Amino acid sequence: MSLRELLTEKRDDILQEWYKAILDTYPKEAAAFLRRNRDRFENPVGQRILEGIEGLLDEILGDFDEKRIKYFTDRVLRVRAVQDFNPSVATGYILALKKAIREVIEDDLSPELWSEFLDLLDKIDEIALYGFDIYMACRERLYHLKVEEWKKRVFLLLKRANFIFDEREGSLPQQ
Amino acid sequence: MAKLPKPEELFDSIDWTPPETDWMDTPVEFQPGRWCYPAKKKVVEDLGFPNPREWSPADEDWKIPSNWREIVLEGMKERLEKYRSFKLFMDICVRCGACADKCHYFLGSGDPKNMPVLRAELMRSIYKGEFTLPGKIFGRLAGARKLTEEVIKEWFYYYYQCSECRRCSVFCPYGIDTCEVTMMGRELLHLLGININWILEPVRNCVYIGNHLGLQPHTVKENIEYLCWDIEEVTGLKIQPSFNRKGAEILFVAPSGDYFADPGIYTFMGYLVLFEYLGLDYTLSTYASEGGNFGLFTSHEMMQKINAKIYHEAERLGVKFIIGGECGHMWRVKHQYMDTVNGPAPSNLEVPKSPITGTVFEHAKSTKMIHICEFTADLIAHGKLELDPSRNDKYVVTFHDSCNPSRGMGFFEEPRFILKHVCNNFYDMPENTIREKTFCCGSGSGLNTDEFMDMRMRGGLPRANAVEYVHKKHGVNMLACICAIDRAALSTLMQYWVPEVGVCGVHELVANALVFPDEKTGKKKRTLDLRQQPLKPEDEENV
Ligand code: SF4
Ligand code: SF4
Repeated sequence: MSLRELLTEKRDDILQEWYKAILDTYPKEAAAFLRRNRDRFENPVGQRILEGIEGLLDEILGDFDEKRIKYFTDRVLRVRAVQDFNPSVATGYILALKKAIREVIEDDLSPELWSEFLDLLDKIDEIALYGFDIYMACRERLYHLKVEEWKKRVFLLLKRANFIFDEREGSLPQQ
Repeated sequence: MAKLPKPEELFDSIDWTPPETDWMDTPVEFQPGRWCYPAKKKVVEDLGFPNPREWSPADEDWKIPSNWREIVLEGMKERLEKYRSFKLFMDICVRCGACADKCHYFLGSGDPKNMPVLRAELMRSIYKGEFTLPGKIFGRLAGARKLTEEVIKEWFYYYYQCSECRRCSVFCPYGIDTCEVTMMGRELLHLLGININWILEPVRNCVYIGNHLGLQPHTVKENIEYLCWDIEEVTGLKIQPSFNRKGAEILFVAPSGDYFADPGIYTFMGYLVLFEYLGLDYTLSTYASEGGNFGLFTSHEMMQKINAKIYHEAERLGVKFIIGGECGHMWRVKHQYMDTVNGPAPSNLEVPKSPITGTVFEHAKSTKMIHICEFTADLIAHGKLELDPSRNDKYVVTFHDSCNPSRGMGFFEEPRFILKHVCNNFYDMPENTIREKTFCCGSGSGLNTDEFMDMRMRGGLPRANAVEYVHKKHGVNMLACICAIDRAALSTLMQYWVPEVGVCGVHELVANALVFPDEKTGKKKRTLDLRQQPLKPEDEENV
């Protein structure tokens, strides 16, 4: 049995372990809620995390498509970037997958699977690096929005004073 | 949809009773992005509020008066006697936990003290510990504790992490309204000079000048005239609204954000275009130049003071009734408090009667003030507006029920009725996220400031998440709302969570769809929307 087959077989257990490790980063009342409520509208944080980690694991076991990996990583990190986490804890959920996998397949990890296993770890590291980019992009977006919001707030005053470069003016017919 | 983990494995005993003791031992940590800047000394002085000083929540010493304990306990006692609801809410919670997971701030942050039951408990534990016998005797066992400076800090942190949206109260079997506990918390903090600038500065400006930003009468007038030029670009209409005109039939009051903020200005242009279409006899006021009322987020007295100017102006100008624009908390004030705190309405006012349809708005018999959406919905219902909804075809629209009009006044149908007539593509968000169960924008009750950005984005996630759903499912690209704070706050929220979706007011879309007689005969042609963008980008004729 290849490592991929083994992981595919144990997919659900791995996800379970992984999700548990992520929930451990939340206060216990919150973790209980995230775990309990399955409604995607009433529990957007829990459901986004599940969507994100399930998607990532399937990419790791499947095509490892960069675009989709970034999408699934974004699902989780966009949330964690505005929660009470240091950057390391926010992005650390990706690396927590290593531990989750080890815990589930430890007993089955025979020496002939090692090289495949090392490849797998590399893949997770690669995702973690994407994760840093996405986390930073989210934080930068927030700062950008702070500035944009101020401009919008007094938009007309700035516009009247000719202080706005308003690209929408481009749609006006020539005077 | 994610399928894991398996429910049966997860339904291990989850206890929804909030922790009895340990939350009391968790001191509040003041992290940036989670609290708002304190009010400036000068602003507090101008308002005559207690204890003006330079201070910061990040400091160890908040420089509160030495007899602060007496002040707060006295203030609490007074309010327990004055407001029956407050006393009731302190007494009757059975800690069933039904409200626990209903607050958007809890959903987004996971901070247990953002569970409404615990937010109220921050106050209730003091009530028990200081005012009830069992609490005094059994202390913690009875969920009671003593008032300390740490508690004051915690109150500040968490009563300014509640947007007074009242979602929790919808789910409470006893109707406990944690929003009102927050209001009391904020009032008590004011007694010590603990408050935030984002609320108090607009309050000061309203009191001294008339609107949140402190725009002088000539600036208000010039701004609105500038919008009229833009309207002329789009429609060819030369609109000249009157200001402070005595003898007009109607006084129109909008939130000030609508005449200087983006995208609120397009909503304001929408009002003006509609009134022009109808030939309405209305006037604008440069004194009652603000529908919003941050007094609501400060104290009952301040709310009363700020709201009074609307009746003053209606009386001075001798109008017959008042129409109010698309604003959220403004309508909570009008609907729930205006009658009792500022009423009776001046005697020159009459029961609002639409001059176009003859409809008498009986429900406003006492306040003499109606919502512009009621007015417009009535026009549409009577077939008084010639509308071409295809002019809004580039938009696939959904509607955000702002907390105050929806939960504060049960206003669900009118805006939807209008939207369905002015655009062809309308889709509601899922049932458990709209109407009385609507999710807050995350920035309500004066928390729409930039230093509070992290909390706002977390608190707004449940709302944004539902918008994303209809965006993906139906291609929704425009989020309509009837609140000026929402127009600003949701724009930012969308930019973070669902950047493909824009934000607009309902009357912006009304004006786009409104067909003027000259346009009907083909004498004039409308090619631009109020944002001066092509109505139909793919249409060659628009270029
Ligand atoms: S009123 Fe709204 S913000 Fe405040 S506790 Fe209730 S749900 Fe949360
Ligand atoms: S739902 Fe009402 S009674 Fe139940 S815990 Fe919340 S406030 Fe208390």
